[in-house]
Amino acid sequence: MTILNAKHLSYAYPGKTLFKNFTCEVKKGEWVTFIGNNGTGKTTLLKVLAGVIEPQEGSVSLIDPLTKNQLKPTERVYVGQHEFSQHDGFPATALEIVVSAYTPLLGLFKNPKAHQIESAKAMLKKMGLESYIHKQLSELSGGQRQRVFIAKALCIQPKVLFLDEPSSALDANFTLELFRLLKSFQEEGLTILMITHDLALAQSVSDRIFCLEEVDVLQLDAPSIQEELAHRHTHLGETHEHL
Amino acid sequence: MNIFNYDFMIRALWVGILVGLMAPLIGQTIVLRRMSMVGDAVAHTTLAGVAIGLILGIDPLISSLVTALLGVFLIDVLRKRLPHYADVSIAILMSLGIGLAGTLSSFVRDTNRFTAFLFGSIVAISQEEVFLITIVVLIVVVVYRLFYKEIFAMTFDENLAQHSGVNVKLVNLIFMIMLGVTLSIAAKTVGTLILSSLLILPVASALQLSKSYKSTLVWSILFSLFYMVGGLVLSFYLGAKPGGTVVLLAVLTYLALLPIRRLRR
Repeated sequence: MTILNAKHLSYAYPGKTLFKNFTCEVKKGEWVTFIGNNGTGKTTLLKVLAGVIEPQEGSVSLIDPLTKNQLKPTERVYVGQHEFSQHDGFPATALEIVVSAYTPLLGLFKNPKAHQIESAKAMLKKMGLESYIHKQLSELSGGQRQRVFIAKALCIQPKVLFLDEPSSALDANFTLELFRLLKSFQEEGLTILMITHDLALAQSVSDRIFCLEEVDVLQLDAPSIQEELAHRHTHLGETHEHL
Repeated sequence: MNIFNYDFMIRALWVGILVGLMAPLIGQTIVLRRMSMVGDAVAHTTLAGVAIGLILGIDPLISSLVTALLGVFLIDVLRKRLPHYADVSIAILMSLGIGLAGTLSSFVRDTNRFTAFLFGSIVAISQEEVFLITIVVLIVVVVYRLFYKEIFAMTFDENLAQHSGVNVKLVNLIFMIMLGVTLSIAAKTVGTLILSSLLILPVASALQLSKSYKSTLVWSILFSLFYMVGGLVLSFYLGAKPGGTVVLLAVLTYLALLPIRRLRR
């Protein structure tokens, strides 16, 4: 049951091709991860897949396999890498930010209902932010802000979730908790497409891993993941020795 | 000397309350979108509108409303053309407004009426103008309430709101119309020279105390009402110009509030 169908995607900046002729199908409830070095175009690819930016070549369709309808913006949610690090000085609280996720669902002239506000609070609690619900965003740490944006994305129960380095500002403990939570949503049918630099983490949660290299997007099989992990381990050891 | 014995002061206080209520609705979004100087830029286009109105024999309130609306749309167009230099669009409009107002003022015969718009003429407002301002403010308040959550989403992050399915184009259009209307009315009452202060200072003061987006709005309205009414009463007893007194009261209160934020931290 395909929910995302990407065909012959290409994207280039002047003087640099990021990816060329990338085609893939993602099934409903699948967890797909993209890895790669900095500057290889992971974020651009994820944005293209999420419909945040148009591909220069090729097409992306996000269609609910059950209803055959195109997914609405509230059903395909993108959580960017730097969202949490912006908005300094904006006086909104964590709860106000999360509740604002309902705005496009409600339509014009309607206020969020009591049960939606309760759901938003419950999601913030699940994110370990119970005591920060009424705190302003600028009073929260980078990791806490990141959790607010993930709570905002999850509370409207999207069908596909696009996460760009969701654990970049989180500590190891909460990263584990977050991925347990995401896994439980995946088991209920949520499709996840994610970018991470943590290959070991990617391996433990993902159904498929793609690696962006030069202009190609290659699907990694189990032996190549092990090889890459071993390579990274050795490389890390050498770096430590060097330091 | 009782302030309520004078009809013109009762009218001025009523208009002050209306403008005090309306200005922060627009000011909060302007401040949080980092477009604080937009008030100054559009103020100069309203002044050009006043000159046009006086030359053509049209009510300056109407002609300044038209030029204010043209001004906010020009800013919006330029802002989209120069997305990384939003302040440039404001500076361009300000130059255009000053150039037009300066040139056209040479052709205005009734210079007293023209200069009244520099410092405002809230105590010289007619009964018809009071009626017009009351209707316009009521419309702005109702429209703002209807679009409150969309304005919040757009103010927080325009791109994010657009991508999540909020009709940002419509909300922005409505907001820009409300901005133009607010600025032209505020120009008539407190004057173009200090118009942007009325948008910014209540919000800047509220940010020292508020704990959420909603409470920032409530505090902004309270401060704005205090500045308008307090400034008018002070100006009456001091015999000073109302516009200047309102702004001075606002600046002094803002400065007095600064240590509170530090204490809160």
